[in-house]
Amino acid sequence: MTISLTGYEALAEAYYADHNVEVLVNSKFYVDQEGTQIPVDPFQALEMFERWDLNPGKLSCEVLSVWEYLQSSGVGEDFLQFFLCPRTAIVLTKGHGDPLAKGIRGFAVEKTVYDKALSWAKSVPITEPDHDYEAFLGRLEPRLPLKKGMGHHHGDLARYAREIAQALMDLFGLDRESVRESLVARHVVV
Amino acid sequence: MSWYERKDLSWGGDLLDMVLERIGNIHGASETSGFFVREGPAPSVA
Repeated sequence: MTISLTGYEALAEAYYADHNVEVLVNSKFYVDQEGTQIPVDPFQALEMFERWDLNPGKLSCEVLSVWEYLQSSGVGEDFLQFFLCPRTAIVLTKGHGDPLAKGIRGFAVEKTVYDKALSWAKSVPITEPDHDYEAFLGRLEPRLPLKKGMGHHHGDLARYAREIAQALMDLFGLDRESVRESLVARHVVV
Repeated sequence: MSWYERKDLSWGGDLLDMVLERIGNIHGASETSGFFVREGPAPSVA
């Protein structure tokens, strides 16, 4: 668990852990008692604060980051897969983005957008996993739509269209020569 | 250099349209699952 919290941040995390079993099993709480770290459960920590005036500064916790949680527990009924290209990242999911193939939707983002979202997910603790997942997806913006025709009209997508197309050909196992022949037939390439 | 790697052409939008059209006709891609990050050449999910 890479996230360490103390004080009111640890107290807030105790609230989330007390209300969500996924947070509960992925966190550990301690109360400092004369230099000794005594393990407590989140309910105990909240009760000590509310009833016995526990100094929040004596409470600490260790908890998974959003990124660690996604890696260890997945994303429920959805799936989330990233394919990293030199300048872009392709994101495949079940429920977000444009429909690509049966059961698969997706979009692309510039690599810098992916890097910032990744940095956020590695630096914040889980609070409510479903909400955390949506918040993470929300940081993967602006998106480059993977929809036919958009490569001609969307400036950023046009810039990265070849890189994304090449990655998708690999990803979905398309025969590049066959794609070329089709483009030749349409007089796009010679 | 492969035909699709030539940087002197400006037909990326047509290429992407063609690829998206073909992907849309794939019907065996529903087995993908889970969470992962891959860098470099992407594996086939078809």
